[in-house]
Amino acid sequence: MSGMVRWPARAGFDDGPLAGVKVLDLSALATGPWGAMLLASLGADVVKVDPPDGDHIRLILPKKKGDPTTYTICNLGKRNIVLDLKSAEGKAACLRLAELADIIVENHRPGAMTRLNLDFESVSQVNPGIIYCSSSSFGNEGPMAQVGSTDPHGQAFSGFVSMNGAYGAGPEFLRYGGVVDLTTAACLTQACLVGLHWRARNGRGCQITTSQFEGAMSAQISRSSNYLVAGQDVVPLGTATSTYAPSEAFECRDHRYINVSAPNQQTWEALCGAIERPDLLEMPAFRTNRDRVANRSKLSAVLAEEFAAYDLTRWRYRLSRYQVPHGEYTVLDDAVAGVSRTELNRYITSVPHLPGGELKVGAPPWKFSRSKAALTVSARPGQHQGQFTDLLLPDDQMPEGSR
Amino acid sequence: MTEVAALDGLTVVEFASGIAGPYCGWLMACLGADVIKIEDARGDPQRHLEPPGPSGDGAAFTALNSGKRSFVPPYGPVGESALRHLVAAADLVIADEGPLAEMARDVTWITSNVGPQTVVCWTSPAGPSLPATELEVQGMSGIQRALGQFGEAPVRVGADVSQVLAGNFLFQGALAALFERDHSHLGQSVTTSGIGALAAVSSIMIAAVDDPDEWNGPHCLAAAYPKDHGVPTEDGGVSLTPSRRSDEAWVAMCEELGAHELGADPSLAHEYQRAPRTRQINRRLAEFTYQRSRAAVIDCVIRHGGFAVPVQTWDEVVAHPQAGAIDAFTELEPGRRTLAPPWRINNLRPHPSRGAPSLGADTEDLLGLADGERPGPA
Repeated sequence: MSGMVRWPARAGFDDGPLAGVKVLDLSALATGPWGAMLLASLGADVVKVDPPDGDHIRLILPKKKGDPTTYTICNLGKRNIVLDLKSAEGKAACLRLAELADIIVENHRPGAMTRLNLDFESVSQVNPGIIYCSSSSFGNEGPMAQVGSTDPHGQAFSGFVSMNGAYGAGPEFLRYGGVVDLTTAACLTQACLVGLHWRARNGRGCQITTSQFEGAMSAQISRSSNYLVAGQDVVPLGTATSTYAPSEAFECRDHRYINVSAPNQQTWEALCGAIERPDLLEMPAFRTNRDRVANRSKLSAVLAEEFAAYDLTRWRYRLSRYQVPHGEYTVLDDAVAGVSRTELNRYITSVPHLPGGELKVGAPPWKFSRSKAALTVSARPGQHQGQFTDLLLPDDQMPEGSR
Repeated sequence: MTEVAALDGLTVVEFASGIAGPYCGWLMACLGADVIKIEDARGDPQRHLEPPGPSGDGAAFTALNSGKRSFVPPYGPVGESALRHLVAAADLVIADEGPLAEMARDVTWITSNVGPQTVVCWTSPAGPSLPATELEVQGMSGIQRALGQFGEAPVRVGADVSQVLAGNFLFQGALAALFERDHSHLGQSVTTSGIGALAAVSSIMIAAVDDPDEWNGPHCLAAAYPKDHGVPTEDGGVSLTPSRRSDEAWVAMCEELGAHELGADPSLAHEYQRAPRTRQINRRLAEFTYQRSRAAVIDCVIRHGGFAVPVQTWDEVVAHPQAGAIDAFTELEPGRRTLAPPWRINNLRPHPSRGAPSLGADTEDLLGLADGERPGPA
């Protein structure tokens, strides 16, 4: 096949489990890009295409050394080129990349890629092996297909908000963490990986879709079952859960909170030992988990009184000795700043920041015993344009024999 | 053209209780893998949690274990040998630190009995040997900065988000390792944890507070914001974003809601002025929306080019035609459902081929296997 246009080889990290997999990232904002970033840290070669005016996530503050942090964490480990997909040349160049890719990732409104002739059907004609993965707001069919969405809209519509908040208070949003965006992104990454296995078994490409609605629902699979399977309403319970009791934050004498959970009978017995209240084991209201869940408020009141009697440090020792699941609260900002060392610090990693220095991010979530998975620096828009020169030429200027 | 399921022919042995490991196994079962859940005589503790569904098992157990087979190895050499054969023949083993994994005597038992091509997936709430549940992991992760309010009692995310995400990422790691195995013919182990999963999806917050040039933007400041219940209406909260494309549409929307002053405010006349002031705008809009119906507010915003959705409870999620249009649930029996996996392949939602197994339902079938024989399909 000499003389054919090739996907340019890249230098550097290429030994993850997805080494050799070529991903064309046509997405923008957070969900698509972070999903493709996970593929890059698994070793895939991800080329992100940005529009001439840039990915709008670059406008999201804050910045560190002039570079927007949210853009950076969503685009680690990728190569970047700029194409105007509204121009004929840009579209042709993009289709050429699509022809060579294993996976396409995009998160535009349903129908947008069809208008660009870069939808699954169009790409399949030049690349029947393409795995085409899309994330939309609420799904690409149905009455909500054309309604846009950001993280809080996904939270609201999916029921995610309905179970957050103080007991008896109104449901509340998870404020500006992008957690539902990144959860949806993780579902998009799953879709890409499922696609690789589907293609291996079926010998052709496929189209896989997810959405913020589905991603936000997926995080609720256990709690939503209370309604779906058992017909029970799902409501905010403060720090408690509907499945076992106790599991709650208690205020200690020094006004710090400690989380304490007894997910089974053994830990409940241990807890009663730790707080020196063996009498609770004999009380019919607290005998089984079912009893304790049914009498949760009563149980909370009893335990709150016990925990308020001593400082947190004492409880830490007691609960550790009795092997009762417990934990303290981490202030995320303090952990990132390094002013407190907590469990969270083990999962924060530094990546090279493009303008210099480093940027702290949540570490890649998997560890492999043999393969490597790693995060590398984020690309500046258009930084790798030069590597793709042949691919980006208009058809009539392509080198002889290259097509 | 006939299609083969994405994980057709894959054998998975699951020594996992709780949420993360079973979630990973459930996704695989939905994709055609033969997932064999190993349980002791008491069963996965998740069976005994609240609230129970019609089968008597805990509702979450039903949601997380449909499509699997259940194997309870009998005590003694027969059970021991059967377990060894199952593990030796597995493409994938899923294990956690819970009581079902303890059945495999210790963690080295699994690694010493799997074949060289087996992928072994491990997960735990907060790393090895730190006893923690969803609540403790959320506390350790710092995610509560995005909920509740300074000076008040902490609030957790209602969803079991750390455990589900640990399972989500475990599934990713497993599929990546299996993909690599197609070329290397070698298995390996993959590990995730609840705290690691939450740290990963907190990346936007983590990066934002890493010594930014200026402490601005909601990702830096959200911890200091008050609780957010959405924009209020007569009958519930709404999440809304006015049109981002047209300044005229913004004015028209304000006019229709009676917010004349807001629409005429010159400091909000252009999109670039409104974009960073979402919270301020929503606060001012609230004065006009709280006495209107939720449906009317949503309709008005959407007609004027913005997007708006209701804060839905789960009965509303299920009843909304959008859920039906994308086939989001698996129907167990009339009125009883489980959530289906979060993707559609060629417009078809994968569903488990059967409901959650009763304890030991497949023990007899699986004990009948001859030495070295691979377990057949259910």
